[in-house]
Amino acid sequence: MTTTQTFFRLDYGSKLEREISYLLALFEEIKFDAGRYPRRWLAIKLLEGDTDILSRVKNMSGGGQVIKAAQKGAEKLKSMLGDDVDLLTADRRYGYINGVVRQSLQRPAIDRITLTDRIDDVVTHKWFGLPFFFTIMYIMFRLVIDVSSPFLDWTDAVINGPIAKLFSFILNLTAAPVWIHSLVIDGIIAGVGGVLVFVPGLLILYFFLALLEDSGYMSRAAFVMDRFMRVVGLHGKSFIPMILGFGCAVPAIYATRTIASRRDRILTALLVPLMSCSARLPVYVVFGLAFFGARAGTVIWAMYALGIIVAMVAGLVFTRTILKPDVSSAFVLELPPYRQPSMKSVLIHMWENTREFVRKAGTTILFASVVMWLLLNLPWGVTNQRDSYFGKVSNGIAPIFAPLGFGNWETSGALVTGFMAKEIVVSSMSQIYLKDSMEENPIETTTLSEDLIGVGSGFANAAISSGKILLSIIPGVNLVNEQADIQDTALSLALQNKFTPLTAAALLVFVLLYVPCVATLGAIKHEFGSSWAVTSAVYQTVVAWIAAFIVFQGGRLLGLG
Amino acid sequence: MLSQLLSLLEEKKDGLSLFEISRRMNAQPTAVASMLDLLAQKGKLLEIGPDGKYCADCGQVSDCNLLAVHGKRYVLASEIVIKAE
Repeated sequence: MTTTQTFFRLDYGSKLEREISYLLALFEEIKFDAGRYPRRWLAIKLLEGDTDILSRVKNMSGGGQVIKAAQKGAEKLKSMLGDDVDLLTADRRYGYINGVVRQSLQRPAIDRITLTDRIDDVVTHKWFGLPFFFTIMYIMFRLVIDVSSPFLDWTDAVINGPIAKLFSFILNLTAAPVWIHSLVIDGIIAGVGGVLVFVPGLLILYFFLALLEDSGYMSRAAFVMDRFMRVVGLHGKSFIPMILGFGCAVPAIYATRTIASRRDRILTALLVPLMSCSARLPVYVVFGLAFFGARAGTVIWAMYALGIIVAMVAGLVFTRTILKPDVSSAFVLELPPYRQPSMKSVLIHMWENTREFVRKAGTTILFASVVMWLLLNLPWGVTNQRDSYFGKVSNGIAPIFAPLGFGNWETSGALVTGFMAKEIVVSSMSQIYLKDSMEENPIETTTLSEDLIGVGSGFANAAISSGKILLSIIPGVNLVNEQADIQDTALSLALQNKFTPLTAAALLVFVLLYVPCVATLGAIKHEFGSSWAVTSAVYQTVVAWIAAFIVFQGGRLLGLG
Repeated sequence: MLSQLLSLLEEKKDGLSLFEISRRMNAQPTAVASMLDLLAQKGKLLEIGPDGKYCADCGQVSDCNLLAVHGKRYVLASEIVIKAE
């Protein structure tokens, strides 16, 4: 009994088949020995320009002539069909495979629409996607502020109470001179401590951001914003660095490298600093708690939303003036499926980001606090801070801020120091305002055991208050007495005598928009050159001044302050 | 199939997800993914993002949590060439 073996042969189309046939005819004509390779397969590989096969054939008898003919054929096909032969053959193979799969495989319709698809239909919807994103951000900031508020009070009480007392005790024990005492308590504890107070808030913020990232929602947010940004004339891919800008503008500037066009990179880098970075959060929290009470979360969310809106408007202006758009490129975004966030991964992200903030407090802010203390105490022996070098320089620039409602030397000076890092605004205000506050309300004398009990019970109370706030999210549950549970930090209390809600709002808008910190400008200079760094600093300061002016003067016209 | 995929990407400037492409081409997502990889190998698409060339020389890429949760992303190479010219 004999069997007939039939070989499968994919038809590559008339033009390709003609070149394959020509090569096969050449093999016959020159008696080319293809060795172990099937002749048709070898002809296709030679036309595709497979480097491995080409090197092997080169060493065969007559190989040079065969390769020359194959290359000529490949060039001819490319000029006729407009693509390399390997792409043309791959195209035919994919087409054939897809046809076979479609004819032979029937999938139940339900398999094609996954739970991820269903969720994406809502969260990436053309119209609902954007409101959903802003709602998520709103809930997040409400939770961050409300849940962290009792812990902020606790940290504030620990730093300005037992820790300040401990340092004071050690300095008294070592008979340290008065100036060292002042440097440590009024300079370092007030400056660095004033910033460290916000660590609980940042821990909770980074927890929620990590939760959103790990669940897969952040990629959807980028996708939703991508479509929205194209509508207002911006590059779609710009939103990824901009989301990173919510954490810190420096890595966000470097993340613009994911954008291919230099013009789009520059435009994105100019807009990234308008995203409210975590360094500004301490300023928002201090003023939010001091002047807006239970609405602090809403005010902070509004700052983030305002940053995005101003970025959109600035983007529109840039794309119509100095950075006109070029050809828009196609954009494929593969959305990963939703997944249950891993608690370990969320906690690692939360800790890594917060550690960076604490490291900055121990380096940049510590250095700035010491410099600030020196400037506030020079010339040596000055009794009124207003007469110090810092006070005099700040007083000189204060008139610039007068139309914005905060034309005093203390605020002007603190805003200038914010050029080094935005947290330093709070650190400087702590040094300026808390010195007076400490002189008026000296630290109470307590024993070590009383302090330890106070720290422990304070933490327990903070945990209970946060738990109550968290449970009150459940509809129908209200365990919170808003006025009693939201307390002020020492700095918030000190600021209440110096600002009104309207001037505080104008200041928050100014802090959101004004000149990026020196590290961000350094990153822009590194990536795009000095001229763009200067452009960024100048345009943001001008925009900030105008926006704060509108808020303050507009508020006055409306009779708000 | 490949030319159909390229035409689709050129046509949809707003971008497409892998699943949208697979639905439009009536092809399996895994097949589309391998087509995208092949087109990237052949220089028709440029891969961007954490595994792509644009992030490779960024010192911050290992700390970039957001980029890490994104899958592969591509842009049409022809558009980049037009811009470069």
